[in-house]
Amino acid sequence: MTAFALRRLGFAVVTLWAVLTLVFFLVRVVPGDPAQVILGDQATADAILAMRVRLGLDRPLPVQYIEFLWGAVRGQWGVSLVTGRPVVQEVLAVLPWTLELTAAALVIGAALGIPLGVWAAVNRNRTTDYVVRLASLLGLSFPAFVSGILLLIFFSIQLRWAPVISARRDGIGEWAASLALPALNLGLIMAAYITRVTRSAMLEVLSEDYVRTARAKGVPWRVVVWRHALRNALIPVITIVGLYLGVLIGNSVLTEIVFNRPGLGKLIVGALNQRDYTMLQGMMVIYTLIVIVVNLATDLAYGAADPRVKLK
Amino acid sequence: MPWFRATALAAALLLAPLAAQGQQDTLRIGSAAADAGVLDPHLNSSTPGRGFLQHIFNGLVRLKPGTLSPENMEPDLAERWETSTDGKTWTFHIRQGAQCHHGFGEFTAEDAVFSLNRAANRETSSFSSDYAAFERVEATGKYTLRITLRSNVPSLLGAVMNYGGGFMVCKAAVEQMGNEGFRRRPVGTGPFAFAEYVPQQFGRLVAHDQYFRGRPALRGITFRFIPSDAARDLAFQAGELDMIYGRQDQTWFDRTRQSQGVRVIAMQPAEMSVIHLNMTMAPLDDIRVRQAIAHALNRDQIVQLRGRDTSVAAASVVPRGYLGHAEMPLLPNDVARARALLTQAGHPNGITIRTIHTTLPGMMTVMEAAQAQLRRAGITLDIVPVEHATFHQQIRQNLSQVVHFQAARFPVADIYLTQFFHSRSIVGTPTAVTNFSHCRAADAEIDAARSEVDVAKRNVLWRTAQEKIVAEVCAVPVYEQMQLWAIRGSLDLGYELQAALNLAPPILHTTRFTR
Repeated sequence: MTAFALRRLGFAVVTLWAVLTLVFFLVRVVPGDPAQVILGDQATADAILAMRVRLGLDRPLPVQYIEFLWGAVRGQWGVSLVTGRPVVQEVLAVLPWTLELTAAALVIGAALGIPLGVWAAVNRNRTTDYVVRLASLLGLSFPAFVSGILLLIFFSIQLRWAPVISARRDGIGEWAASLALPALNLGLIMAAYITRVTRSAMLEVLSEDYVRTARAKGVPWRVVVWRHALRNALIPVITIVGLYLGVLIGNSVLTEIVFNRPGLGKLIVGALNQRDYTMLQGMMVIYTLIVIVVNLATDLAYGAADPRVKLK
Repeated sequence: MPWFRATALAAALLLAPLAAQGQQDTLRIGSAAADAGVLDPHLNSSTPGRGFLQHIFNGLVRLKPGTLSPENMEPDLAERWETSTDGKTWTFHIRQGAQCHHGFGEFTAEDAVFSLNRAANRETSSFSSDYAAFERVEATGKYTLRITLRSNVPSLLGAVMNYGGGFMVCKAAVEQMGNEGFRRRPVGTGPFAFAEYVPQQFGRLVAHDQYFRGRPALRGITFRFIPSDAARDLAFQAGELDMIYGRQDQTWFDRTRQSQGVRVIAMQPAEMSVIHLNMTMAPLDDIRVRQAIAHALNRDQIVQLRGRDTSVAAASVVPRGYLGHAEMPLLPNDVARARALLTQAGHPNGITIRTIHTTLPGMMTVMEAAQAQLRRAGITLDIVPVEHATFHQQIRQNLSQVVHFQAARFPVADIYLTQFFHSRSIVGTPTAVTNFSHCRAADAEIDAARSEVDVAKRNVLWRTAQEKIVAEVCAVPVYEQMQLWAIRGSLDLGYELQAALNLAPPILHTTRFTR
């Protein structure tokens, strides 16, 4: 286990370096000038040049790269080129919002997706199966910004159950009400994925010999499905949840915009639009770290779900 | 009677929000941006940034709230001012007792000198070029400030008003916190003081009770940054916002105007949409081709597309309402004439031209309409869509034959004419700003008007400059887009809102809720 953890740590460092290097050069290859963005459209060419010097963007790329890596090693991510605020401060300010939204969406996705997937599998080719498959297809094909607006119109404007500006922390009730709709919006999409994967994994497991044997021995169908079959079907579900979590953090940007929530996705898009190099670099570090941690957690979860999986 | 107490308590709890609603004293504004940007008035030139910062800072003078014309300038931190007969020396008398926020003391001439020098320094300011004519700024007394100019400028007051570099900062605050610290906690003298800023989410201001015009009626302002038009609109409908920047089109205008208890305002300054034609690139180096493009475009159709209440056809190369704007006949829509001109220019089969264009939907819609209009005259316009920051970089690298640009500026003709049509501003040069057409048709008149002290003569020079640029067809002005805002009927701004130079209605110390 220790060897496994050390090996993964080594991979993590290499991955982090590769991502940082890629991001450093990619953001500088993309056209667009942060100095121009900061100074606005009335700035003279001279003023833009002076701003580039002030930001250190006039220096050769290798010099900027080495300075950036040295800063990264020391944990110094600099300040945002556009706002002048420390990158770490800005990222940490939005990170809890992203994590709580992702976690809530995951809970909703799993709570809906796994039972629905199992239900569809055990009722294969019956009406229930068709309805669940259709619903999951709808969930996958519905754009997050459309479903977000529909949720707001129904729950916030018609029923007045939740606020439109879904970013409140002034009490448990307010917090829960403001998290509910964005979490539901992302959670439904996640549920659609999980439903489909669970159904297909369950179909495979339900045709295995040990399921037939258990049934022949008189084990109740409910126990066979939920204890024997589901546990063995969970590996692909965990894989898809692990993969999707990384995507979810980046993809939550539309939900964050529609529900007016701060978050990593919105910060990344803003930094990209403003060519805020330091901010993008800092955020990619955090994002990569999250993906690495989620992947590690996914690997560990395999062992917990299925004791036959050994981590070496 | 416990049941009675419990019922009373429950009723009180239920009614508390209603009672609080009746006594609302915090204004909630919905801005269309994702963030206000850097919180330094001398660096932030963005619309959301200025809309937020204008309440923290004053100028020495200000435009009468709700108006746009520089002729409506009135005292702000300066009680009065005078100028020498040659217009090169200006003396401002600072009012006594104006207090900086957060206990940073009285605002004096020293603060004004510090602010103007900071605004003129390109290391600390985005607006340094506006102060190029300043020779010296000095405090000649605790409450007296003297500005000496190298040469005349058409509107010196524009450089010391509550706009751009004219916002006055408190010297002690900048010195104590440093520029970086000041940008996290800006300190001014305005009716509202900075309280809190959560990136991407909101900025909060609180009333500055020592404000020199009096204690603000509102206790605070919360600016919400909501880039999604739909989400901002829904938050306004749900009563979570009191004032929002609207979606800039006629449908939104009509729909929102029908809502009960809501005022919708189309205010100035309008952003003028102009199609600049690069006169150094063939075939646009031939005036007949440029005239053909101007004849092929139909302004009225584009105004119809944008909305009759929200836009108006352009009438010159300087927008309406600007000091020095002169209305004049522009080349009319005439497709047959356009085709004839192209044939005369040696292009009987038409031409193909290329534009690098932003993907911003509002601007793209207009360019697509223009593309369809040009096609009728045999002109093929290839649109290369690029993301907005890329657009701004590439059009300044002289890469586009045609540049569609939409902008509002300080409302003096000199600014628009200099930035867009003076040879000093030609893109690709060290002094470049936004002269995309390489126009140099009216350099002499623009320069002469700047140093002319006789108002009538100056206006004649500005008119001549506009006529020459129109005759040369350096650019085709298309339409002017008003700024649309929705305001709850219970909000009394304290003035009649027709215009707001910072593109967001200013909230004054007298602004209040009537119920």
